[in-house]
Amino acid sequence: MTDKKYAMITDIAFLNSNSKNYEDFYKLYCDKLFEDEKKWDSYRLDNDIEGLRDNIKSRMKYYMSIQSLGVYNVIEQGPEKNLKDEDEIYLFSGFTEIGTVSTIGDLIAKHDYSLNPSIFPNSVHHISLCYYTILKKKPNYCGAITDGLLTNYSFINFIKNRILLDDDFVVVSGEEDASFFKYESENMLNIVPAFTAYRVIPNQKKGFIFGGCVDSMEEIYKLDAYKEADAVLADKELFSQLKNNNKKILCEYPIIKDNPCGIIFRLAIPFYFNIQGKSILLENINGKIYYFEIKL
Amino acid sequence: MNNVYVTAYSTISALGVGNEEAINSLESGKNTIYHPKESDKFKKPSFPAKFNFELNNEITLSSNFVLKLLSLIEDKWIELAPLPIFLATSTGGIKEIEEVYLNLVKTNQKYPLSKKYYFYDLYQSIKEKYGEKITDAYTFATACSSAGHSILHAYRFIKKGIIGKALVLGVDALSITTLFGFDALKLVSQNGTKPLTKERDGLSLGEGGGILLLESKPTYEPIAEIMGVASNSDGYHITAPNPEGTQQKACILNAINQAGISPEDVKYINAHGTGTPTNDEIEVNVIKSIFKPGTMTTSLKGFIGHTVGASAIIELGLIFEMNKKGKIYQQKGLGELIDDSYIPKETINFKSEYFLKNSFGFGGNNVSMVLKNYL
Repeated sequence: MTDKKYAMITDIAFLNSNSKNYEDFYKLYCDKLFEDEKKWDSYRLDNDIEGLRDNIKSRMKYYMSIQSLGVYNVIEQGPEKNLKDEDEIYLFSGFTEIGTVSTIGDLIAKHDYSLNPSIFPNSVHHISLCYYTILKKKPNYCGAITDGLLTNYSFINFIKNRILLDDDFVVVSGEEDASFFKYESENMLNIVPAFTAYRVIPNQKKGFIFGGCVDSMEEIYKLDAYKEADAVLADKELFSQLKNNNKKILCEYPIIKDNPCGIIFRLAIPFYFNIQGKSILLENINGKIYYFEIKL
Repeated sequence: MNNVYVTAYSTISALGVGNEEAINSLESGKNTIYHPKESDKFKKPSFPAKFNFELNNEITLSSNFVLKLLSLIEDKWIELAPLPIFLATSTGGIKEIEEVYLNLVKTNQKYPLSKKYYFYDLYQSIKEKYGEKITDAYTFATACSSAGHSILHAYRFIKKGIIGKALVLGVDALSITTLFGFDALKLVSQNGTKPLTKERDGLSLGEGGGILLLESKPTYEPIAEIMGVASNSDGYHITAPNPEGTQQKACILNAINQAGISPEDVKYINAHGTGTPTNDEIEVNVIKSIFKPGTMTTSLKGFIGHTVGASAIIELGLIFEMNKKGKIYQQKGLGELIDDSYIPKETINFKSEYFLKNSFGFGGNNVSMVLKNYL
């Protein structure tokens, strides 16, 4: 029987309007914010993050959106310290530069065609990574994957195969707020600026591995990966179902709210807070439950 | 490592729907450009896609392109299903979002925006029609190089044996945002794009899509083999390539190295060739620094416009058609060329065993690929 090949997550950064560094987030972890639903409402997030321009010397910072500034800051805080030219950088975002798209939409609505030429490029989905490579003069591969509300699913589809390519890579994720969302009628989403970035190192003895997909929680309960897990990392919906369980149950919801890339933050949580032993990550997508096994 | 073959393909563009219409339009040499009146300037691209099929108004135009492309080669891929699908688009459903958003701003009403449109719609539309026949999917969106990334990832996963076959799709339906964004950047041609000529004054936008079926163990006669795909970043400017072309050159050389051939083996280059004064000059200089004179270099954007995120895959489809005919097509009345030792003045009879395709996007996002011709 061959040993399972895991992928490690290192050089992690999280960022939102309330918490700016590891110490801030670790305090939240110790205070059990991720485990206690009752604390979620009091952890409020704004639609702006102060200080995002502080570390950028170039005047380019005045043209950058919240999305671009957030991406820049989390890469700088996290994976940049070990970033090599050959490391590929992947951005996952449901709505990417939606603030700029809304701004242009507002101009069109007013029949105002005097678009400032610096605005249009900011509507392009991968532009945050372009700003990063330009400001840091980096030649790295940059790809952006965006599927709106299905972005969690895209991430699962992508990463389960990407970790089989052996070489290290960097994952970045985040969203920004926009006037667009106030016109939403069915999915009243609380989209907030929240960002993460980390390095993924395949071919390790510890780390995470994609487990598979099942049709119900009953099937999850039968899995050895579930029975042996000390901690369960679940999306908001499954978290509510699991709260009377004997295991440690965590959910990333309070730090990113309804952003459609929760699994990307959730996957990093055991590595960020060094949750030793075995964990299982669950994500419910249209009634199918996808799971990752984590061993640290 | 597995070999990666293209075993089926098709396109939708200003040249028509499907391979036969595309090659007939190229052969006839007819100019498909549309010159709008000033009042219609942002309503249609210069190279609108041709439609000989019924559009479903419940889904976005991008999704209509996707479903039509899947149907065009359905006889080939459906029996190989389930298949993963690598999607690419720059604009997604923005065209429809704009229309709805305009109305919402005026009336202050609400609408299921995030569910009904945006990128969600592409994959959702495929799932609704084909269900379990499609497995994994995700959408690359890196502006003009988007389809290059979908090809790159499908290629690498097949090469490594992680998957055995895949569908790759790139589509773009142009929106007011794109049309007036490029206009604001002063990148749009006033008279119709003339890429790789001294008369070039900008790009002309187009729309459409392309599809490839990739296989490691070909079920059908191979059309081409993908030998190497590379990508990197200029790290230079948001909208302009680095004038030195350092990373474009590194990207091309990386693709050639992966292919295990030398630059002399590449006899045809399909340039990104947008038709803007700066882009074309830099790209041609890079090509001249790697390849010897006589390496035939053309851009297809004079026939179909710049189809943004779909450009790499549509242009690959057209190259396969050119390979079938043993020809490289050029626009009529091109004018003086940037360098006539690389760029043919008119349509020529030509076949190359290996060819290079470039795709360069905003922010210096470069993709280059080398393919081996099997036709």
